[in-house]
Amino acid sequence: MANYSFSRLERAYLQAQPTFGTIPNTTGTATLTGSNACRFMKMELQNEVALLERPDKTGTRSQEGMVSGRKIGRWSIEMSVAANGTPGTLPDCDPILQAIFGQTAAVGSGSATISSSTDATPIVVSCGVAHGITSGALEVVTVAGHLTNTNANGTFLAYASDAETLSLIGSVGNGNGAGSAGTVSRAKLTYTFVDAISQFTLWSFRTPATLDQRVGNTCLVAEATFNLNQDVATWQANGDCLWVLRSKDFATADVQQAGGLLAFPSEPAVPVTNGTIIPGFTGRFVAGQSVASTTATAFAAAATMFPTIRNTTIRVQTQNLMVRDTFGSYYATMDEGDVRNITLSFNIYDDDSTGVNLLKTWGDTKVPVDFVLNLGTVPGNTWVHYLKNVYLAAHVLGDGQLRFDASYADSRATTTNLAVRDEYQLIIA
Amino acid sequence: MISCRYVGGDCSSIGEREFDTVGQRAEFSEEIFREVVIGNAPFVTEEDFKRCGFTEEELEAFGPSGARVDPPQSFNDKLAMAQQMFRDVLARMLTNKDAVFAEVSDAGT
Repeated sequence: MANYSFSRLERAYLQAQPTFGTIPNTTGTATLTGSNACRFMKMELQNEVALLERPDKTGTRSQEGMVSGRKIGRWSIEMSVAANGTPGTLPDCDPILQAIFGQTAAVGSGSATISSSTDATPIVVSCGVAHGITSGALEVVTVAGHLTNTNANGTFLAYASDAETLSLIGSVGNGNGAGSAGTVSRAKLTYTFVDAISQFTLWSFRTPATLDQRVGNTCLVAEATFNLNQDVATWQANGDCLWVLRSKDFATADVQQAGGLLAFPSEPAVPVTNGTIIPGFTGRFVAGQSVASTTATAFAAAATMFPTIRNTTIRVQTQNLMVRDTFGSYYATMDEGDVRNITLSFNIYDDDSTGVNLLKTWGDTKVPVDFVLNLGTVPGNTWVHYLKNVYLAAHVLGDGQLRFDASYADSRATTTNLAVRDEYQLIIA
Repeated sequence: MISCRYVGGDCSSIGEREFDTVGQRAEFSEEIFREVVIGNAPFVTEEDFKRCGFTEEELEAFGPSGARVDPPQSFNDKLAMAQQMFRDVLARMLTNKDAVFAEVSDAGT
């Protein structure tokens, strides 16, 4: 009797893949280990093989047999938003994030003790020692252990007004007076774009091991989507891959399908995964007229936290694709990429506040806006989506629920200048 | 076998075993310890853990990640020190993939 599989009995493993077409290996043996495990909710790995039909007239209306054409794979994955939990340490999903941004994250480190804070908007913390951030620069920091003015605790984009002082952008003092104690930490991961294309290898192992196991070779990220305000925060990504190799077909796989392997590996015995979920409705939504169109000082002073945001979607379209029209191969032989398209859409309950009116004004005047969207509040598992120079769509008032809301359709983020590629940064702190 | 302690800020799963408490003990073979560390699961050796100076009272009160509310600065400092030790060993393992553990642990430096 054949063995069936429960759909829960599947594990994913991710590996950054340095070489196009080559599944990471040492002399033909896959270098897959338990350290590559990554939890996920849903995964699809499938091949697409074109069918070629002879176009000549046959003298009948019947279709004759066809032959197979160009070959390509597709992948998609959906998973909880879960960082490592230890600040400055890569999340299990890092190979996908690398493939989105084209490079691995920069690791930040360092901390300073806080001596005092202002009970103001925004909160300004003084360290009494150098915090290490260049004066006039903006950087994501995490404050912990601060007393009295406890609203200073958390992860913020901070403005270094001088060598020892930081404005916590979007913060509001909690009215109990000046605070003291605690630390400001710069430990974090910062993913930023480069124009190079990175790929990864995506493995799916199911139980029992006699079932077909699969690997997506040379996975490119075409699109990734993050949603805010879910119960459990999730994200999705998808794209092309060179080929999805199945273990049961390994013996007949051609050179491209085998990807440099001499055997299909068995699942590692001890998968290692890290981190926990984020309640998707926790975090902070901050926006202000962009630094590029004003100054960092002005942005730090004026950026506003919006407390009545409903849903928010950040969509990252890398436009990374397989090249599918090279002569002499059934398979893609290289990759290509077009202009990145980073968009933000959200809706917010409508009211008569200055902030909500500002959003409408920005949408109508096309003044560029910087957004700092924190997902999560726990140090080590806070995902900060930092979108710059967003040209907001004009709002649409909605009366489909008990309160009016204002919706902003896909609004595009743009780089400050072409050398920095800073339209979108993902910071995990 | 390598005796080690969990120093993660959140939780990790090693095979079917869950770790969510700072100071939680484990014993791994050298091979598994390497996979654990390269898999970014924050563990340090028993010796390194002792050097951080956690007290039993601190670990009882603030060790479990789910119950860690406003830990004192002294605990945060010790945890940060332990996590930096982990990152240091991880960095050495990643740059020296064929080394045995003694060569990448603090004892070997």
